[in-house]
Amino acid sequence: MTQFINFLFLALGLGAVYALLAIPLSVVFSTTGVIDVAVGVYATVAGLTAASVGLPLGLVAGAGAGMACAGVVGGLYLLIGSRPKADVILLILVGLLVLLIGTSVGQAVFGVDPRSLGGLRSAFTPGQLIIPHFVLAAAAVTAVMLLAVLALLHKTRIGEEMRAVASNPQAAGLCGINVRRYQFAAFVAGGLLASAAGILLGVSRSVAYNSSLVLTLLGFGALIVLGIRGPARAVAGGLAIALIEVLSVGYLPAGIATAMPLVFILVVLASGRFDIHASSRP
Amino acid sequence: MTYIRPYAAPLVVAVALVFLTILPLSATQADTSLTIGTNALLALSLGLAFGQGGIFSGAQAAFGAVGGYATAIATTTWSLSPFVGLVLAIVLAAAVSWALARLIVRLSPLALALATIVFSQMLTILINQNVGLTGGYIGIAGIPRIPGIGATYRAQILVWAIVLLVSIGYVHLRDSIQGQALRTIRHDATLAQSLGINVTARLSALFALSGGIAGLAGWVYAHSRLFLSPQSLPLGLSIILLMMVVVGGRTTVLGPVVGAVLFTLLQDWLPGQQLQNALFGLIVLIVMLAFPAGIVATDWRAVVRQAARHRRPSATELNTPTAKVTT
Amino acid sequence: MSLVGTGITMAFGGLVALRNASVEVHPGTVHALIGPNGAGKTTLINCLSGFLHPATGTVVINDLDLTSTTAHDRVSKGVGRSFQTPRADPDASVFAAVLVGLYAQSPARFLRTIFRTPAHRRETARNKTAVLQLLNRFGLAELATAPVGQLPLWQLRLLEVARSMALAPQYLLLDEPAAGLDQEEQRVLRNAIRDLRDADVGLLLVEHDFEFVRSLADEITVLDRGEVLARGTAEEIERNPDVVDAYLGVADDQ
Repeated sequence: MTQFINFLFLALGLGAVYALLAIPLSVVFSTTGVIDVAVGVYATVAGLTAASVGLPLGLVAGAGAGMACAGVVGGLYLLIGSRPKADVILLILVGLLVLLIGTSVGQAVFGVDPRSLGGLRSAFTPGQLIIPHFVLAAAAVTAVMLLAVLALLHKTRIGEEMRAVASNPQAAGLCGINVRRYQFAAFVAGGLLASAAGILLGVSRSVAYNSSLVLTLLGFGALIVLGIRGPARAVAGGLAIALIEVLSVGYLPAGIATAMPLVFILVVLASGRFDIHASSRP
Repeated sequence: MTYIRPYAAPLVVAVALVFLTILPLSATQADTSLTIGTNALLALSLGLAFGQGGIFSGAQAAFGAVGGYATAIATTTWSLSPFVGLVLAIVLAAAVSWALARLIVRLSPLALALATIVFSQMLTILINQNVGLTGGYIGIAGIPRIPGIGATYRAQILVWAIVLLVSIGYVHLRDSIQGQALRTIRHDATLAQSLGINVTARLSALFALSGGIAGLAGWVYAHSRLFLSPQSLPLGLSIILLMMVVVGGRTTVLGPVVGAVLFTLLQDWLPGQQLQNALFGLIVLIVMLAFPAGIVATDWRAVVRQAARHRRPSATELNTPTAKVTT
Repeated sequence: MSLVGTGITMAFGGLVALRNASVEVHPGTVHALIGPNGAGKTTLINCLSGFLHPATGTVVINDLDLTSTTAHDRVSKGVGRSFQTPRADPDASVFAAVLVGLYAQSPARFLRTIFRTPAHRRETARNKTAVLQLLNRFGLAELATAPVGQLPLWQLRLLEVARSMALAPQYLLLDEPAAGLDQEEQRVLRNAIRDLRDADVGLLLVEHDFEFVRSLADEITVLDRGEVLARGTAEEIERNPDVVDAYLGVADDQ
């Protein structure tokens, strides 16, 4: 029983991290209609940079690197998506290409070995329970970020305009809202959250050049599990995916355990719940 | 002439095959030819799924891996003949792709693409984790050669012969009522249904065929490289296959082959992976924005005409004096 | 032997498109379904052909209950349909567009096709003859190699009828085939429909225009706001006060 509760804590921490990947996906999707498959790249770049630079400067360096990547990729998407001949296939290919390039650049710059940022490796142990420090840190960071995002979206003028862009870009543009700027901002802000995810992973486990794909897929899974609507659902989705991962590794044979979250994501996809008509909105 | 015209693409491949057979190739050249051939076969399988069925599959290399591992395990662990491995490779890869198709074929393009990528990653994990069966990330070595084929030199002839056969089959499919049904599905699935076409079943069958061909490519790979690991046919290759098909011409038979030649040669010539990937990205962007149908499918005569019209001033412009004469 | 839809109720969210609607089509007859826009005519066709599955009601074809079958299954049971907006790939040739209508009948398999077996070749030849016959029947033979996109609307409609006939249906549901056609073109279409009726096909003709169906229909059902308002011959419908109130008052002015 205590083992089960320990697993739950672990899932809480991981779930918080996946949520930090799912929220950017959600925000970017709402404002641009694009599923940014490069989100894992931002997290990986941030984590690797932070691990290389070391605390405390690494936090800033990592975040900066991640956001810079997000900005570049976002700019690329907006540039391509605005051309009349752009179609879904092209945007998907571009995203996959960024994933590919991100992985190989990561390998070139940071090498093949996983890197980690020591610091949050130990845990509280009240009685039989194990509550890793990173779980609390991750939960705290995600809670703060989620509240900040929700507050921004629902309590500020900027957030109001952002939501206008999300619900109808054409109309928002006609109202004088600078749609491009908000879409770009969505990418960069998302980059910040993804960077936080990468850094948290670097602090608790490790990040390697090939983490990008897995992180993107897990973030995407967290996004679609409970429906794409809004950052709060993304968080819940993150917890769900993390729970599946932790419980699988804990209770299932090693041969299939690590694949289970992906199996789950595939099943969710196949059920047709993620039923978007992906469009390349300008 | 009208009988030959549809076979234009296989004819090109046949000519290439003849040259590859009679010309004396160095070891590196034979090796490159083998790589291009295997990639061409995988690209053709994607061409079928994507070009004919509209299925944007990021799992073709994964299906190749299924075939490759099937035969590798059969011929090493169980010491069966590579020809038994051939049947296993094709059947297993076809079965897996059929099952995946039944799950995802109704999804929107983005969801479908992501599903194939999720599947590809799943497979990589399963291969890595089940060390007893697959040798984990170290892989399987000592895969036997195909009797009679032997070294790389003959293997590359074999693979191009297979490419030729597949391209002929592709032409037959494209020009048949089956091909027309697939085109109808691609153009308007609702119309297809109203004509009694079971869209899900057709696309699943097509994807199974495509998966089987990818499995065949995996079989060739395993028995010519004699070594197989999760790095042999990774997701990265699946993504490059997508680029090959899109750049070459997704609905054509020759397009995927041309794309395979182009990208494989570039990979060989360009130093460093970052440069390769960056250049690939640039090529894909340019082609998709300027020639969205792909290299083989673009009407080049029209393009040249259009360009010529922009460059040369017309005859009337040349004869008219540019300055107005004032009185 | 008939196509019978009984008690069909179909709702989209809060909007009830059809309420307890019924219709019966017999082979060798033309049954017209008329009514104002939004009456639910297309919805009824969608329910009969399997594109929509109604909340209540049954669809029975030749005593077989097909209410829960898919659209493509119903084609094999003898139901063909057309759409309000013509659907055909503009880049395909007229020949190819009609050819695909034969698909449902041909036991074509991938392997036979890929290896181009003698059986496949025989079937291809048979199909070719059948398509040319159909094109001839509807006056499209000279246009066999022309791209569909070049056809004017009325020939597009004929193409759709030809394609539907390739299915060898017992019942054909046509959704406003006369829309957008002038008098002369409508006349050609009417003749084509009569031709089908004489070939023992049971036709359900959805039409907005009463004049088009008056000389054509053996029986007329009037739909209004999802419900069957009246049913009978053209004369009976014209004299029905409810119908005149709801609908024909407008049509008579045209």
